Amino acid sequence: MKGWPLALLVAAIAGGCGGKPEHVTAGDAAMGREVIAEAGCGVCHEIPGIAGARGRLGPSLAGLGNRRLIAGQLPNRQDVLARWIRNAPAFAPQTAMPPMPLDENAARDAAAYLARLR
Amino acid sequence: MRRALRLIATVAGVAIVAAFLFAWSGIYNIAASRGHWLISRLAIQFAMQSSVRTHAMGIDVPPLDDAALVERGAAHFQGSCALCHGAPGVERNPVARRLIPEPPPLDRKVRDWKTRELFWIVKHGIKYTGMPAWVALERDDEVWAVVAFLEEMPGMSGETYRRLAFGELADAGTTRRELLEGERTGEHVSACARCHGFDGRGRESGAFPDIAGQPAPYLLRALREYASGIRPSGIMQPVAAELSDAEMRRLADHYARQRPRGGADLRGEDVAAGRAIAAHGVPGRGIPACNDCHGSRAAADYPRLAGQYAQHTIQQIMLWRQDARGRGTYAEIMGPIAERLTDAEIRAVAAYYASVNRDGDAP
Amino acid sequence: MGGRPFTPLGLLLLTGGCGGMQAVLAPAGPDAAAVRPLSLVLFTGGAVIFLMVMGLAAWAILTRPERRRWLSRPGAIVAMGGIFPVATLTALLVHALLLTEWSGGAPAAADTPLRIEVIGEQWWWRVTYLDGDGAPIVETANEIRIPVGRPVEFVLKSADVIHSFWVPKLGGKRDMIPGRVNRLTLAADTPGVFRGQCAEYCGGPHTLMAFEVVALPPEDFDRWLSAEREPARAPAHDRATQGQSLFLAHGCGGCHRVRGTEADGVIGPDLTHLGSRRRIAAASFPMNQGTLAGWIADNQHLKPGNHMPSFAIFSGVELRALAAYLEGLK
Repeated sequence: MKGWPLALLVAAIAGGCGGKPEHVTAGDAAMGREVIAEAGCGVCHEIPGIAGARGRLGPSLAGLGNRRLIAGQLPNRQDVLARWIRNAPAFAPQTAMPPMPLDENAARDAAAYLARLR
Repeated sequence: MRRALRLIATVAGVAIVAAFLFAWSGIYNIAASRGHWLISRLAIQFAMQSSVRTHAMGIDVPPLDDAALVERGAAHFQGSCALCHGAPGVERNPVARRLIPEPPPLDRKVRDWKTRELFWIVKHGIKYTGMPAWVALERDDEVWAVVAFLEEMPGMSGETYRRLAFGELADAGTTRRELLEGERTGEHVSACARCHGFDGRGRESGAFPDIAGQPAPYLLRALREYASGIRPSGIMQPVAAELSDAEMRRLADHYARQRPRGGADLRGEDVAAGRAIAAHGVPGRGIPACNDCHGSRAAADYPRLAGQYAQHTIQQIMLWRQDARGRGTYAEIMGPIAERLTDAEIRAVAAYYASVNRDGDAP
Repeated sequence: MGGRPFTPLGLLLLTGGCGGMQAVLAPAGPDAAAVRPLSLVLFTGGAVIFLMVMGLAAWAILTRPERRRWLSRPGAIVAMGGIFPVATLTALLVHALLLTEWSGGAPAAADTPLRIEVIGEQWWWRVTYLDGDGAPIVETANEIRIPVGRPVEFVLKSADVIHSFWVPKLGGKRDMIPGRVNRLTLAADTPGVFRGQCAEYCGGPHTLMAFEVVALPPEDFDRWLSAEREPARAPAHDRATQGQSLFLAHGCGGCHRVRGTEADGVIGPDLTHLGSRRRIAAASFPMNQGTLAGWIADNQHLKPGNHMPSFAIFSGVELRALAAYLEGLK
């Protein structure tokens, strides 16, 4: 078909538009699922997609990707979520959620998974 | 046949419409000042007495000749019932007498009813009257205390009644109206002191629990749980529900400061067995040592048991067994333990704790 | 939660049995290794016989009468229906009996085995290391560490109902029967973590009654055992100190022992070195401050019916203090 180079150019430009811009390097959601399962987050939180994660001590994380705020106080961005996971008491001194033993990459992956929960 | 049916249907329809119009017009005088017609009064009374008689069948009456029960019932009666029903030496309030039907003067009318019928009335109340139901329907034991007092009421002297109802406040020389005023203006310690005493030892009769020297956080929690109904009690909820949070704190602090009751001079196998359970629990059946939570070094959100009247300890554990002690987060901890105790173990533990001082039970 | 068995791939029995910490077909000890050929023989042999029988059945149905008449001759029936099954089953029986004699019976005379008493409780494992005379050395719970290459004799008892002790990678099941003492000797060939679980329905949360066997090189094991015998570490910072006060004041010591403190309860697991275990709650959840806090506050929701009540009475700060204290008990 003629004109395919132009079509290809238009598609390439169009593919670069739209969608939310990521502020930081996004984590790996598939790895994040493993991280969450191995860290035992489901003991306190209900988390869709994680087997056995039906804890009710903390809020359910279903739909976390749609929420504007984390824990009612912080903007819901993946990097902020990752920092929250690693040290929640630093942001909310009265919280029951202790610092979780994840390094930065693991926390970022977990945040990527949670951001997909809509 | 069809004509007859049509006739009946028409008459019924007309009757319904007429009844509605009658009610809507307001011609019927609902005024309590006018009272019932004689025929209405007789019919209602007849129906009420029959209903109580029928529904009270099959209620087993436990032994009621316990002075502590009578005292407890009398104290509650003064706070919740005497206003409408009067009491020995106390006239019914004129406002209450204007109720339709008029609350009967019980010291003369109690004998009209059998004991089990009195229980039913006090527990369930009576529709179409001002007689309310018991606030906590799980607490049959509290209703029996009131019934025990009602059975003693006929022929009781006013003096005896004042002692039972007012405890140490009976000699204060105050009239009933002054006490009521005191209760309303926030002198709430005297409202509690009527039953619990200013010293928190509950008149030393076992009719009321010993709250002297209990940790303030525990007393505050107890009041809050009574007020919200988490802990069911037809005696305590009406009292606690009227207290503000600040008042609850003041009361808790007051009783926490009182000197704890010492142990009674009790001996016997029960006490020895109870000491073993209090110190070591019964590990084979999942019962931890009572002292680990109820000893003097335990957390302030748990009650202390040393010096507590044995019958109160037994009653509380039995309430847990009947699932009538409440549903809060603390009940989730103590409830399963109470269910594992045998009757003999409960008596032993209660006897032991009644016999020791607060400082004598180091774990 | 729980790793391999719950991923979609793991649900395929074969792959579940081929790899992972609970894989029957990937043995890590001589007893499991001895059973493996039997399993494979049974499976393969069974498959072959199944195909043969199906083939004969198809032959009997589909071919022309004259070609299938031989199937009904007495000789064929006796040979295929009598002699063949008797021979194969006898061979299997002899092999299996020899295998049972082998594994789990008296330990080989050469090595003195390490003796560990394991008492099945509803729904956890009380583990006591014994010395040569059978006297207790130290008690722990739910995680069993053993030295690599040395036979371990498990002395199996029950405190209440029948449980069953099973570590698939190391050997077969052995019941734990109240009033009886059973013994099972296992050994690990390589270091690693091997998951075991209760293999006899014992009521309530039986499915959440697992444990882990951690095989260590012998010097590491000896070092671990002496550390385990030490009393509990003192809390290292303020939050852990607050956690210890909360622990002792709220009656936790009524059920749990923490050696070196006043907590001396024997109803529940010994917590003296809880922080050094890999998992909590009978291997149900990983061990970290978050899961500890969640377990304390809401364990009845996570493992309904277990004998510890939920302690929902603590504030967030108090829960974190308790979790910090318990995690510090290394």
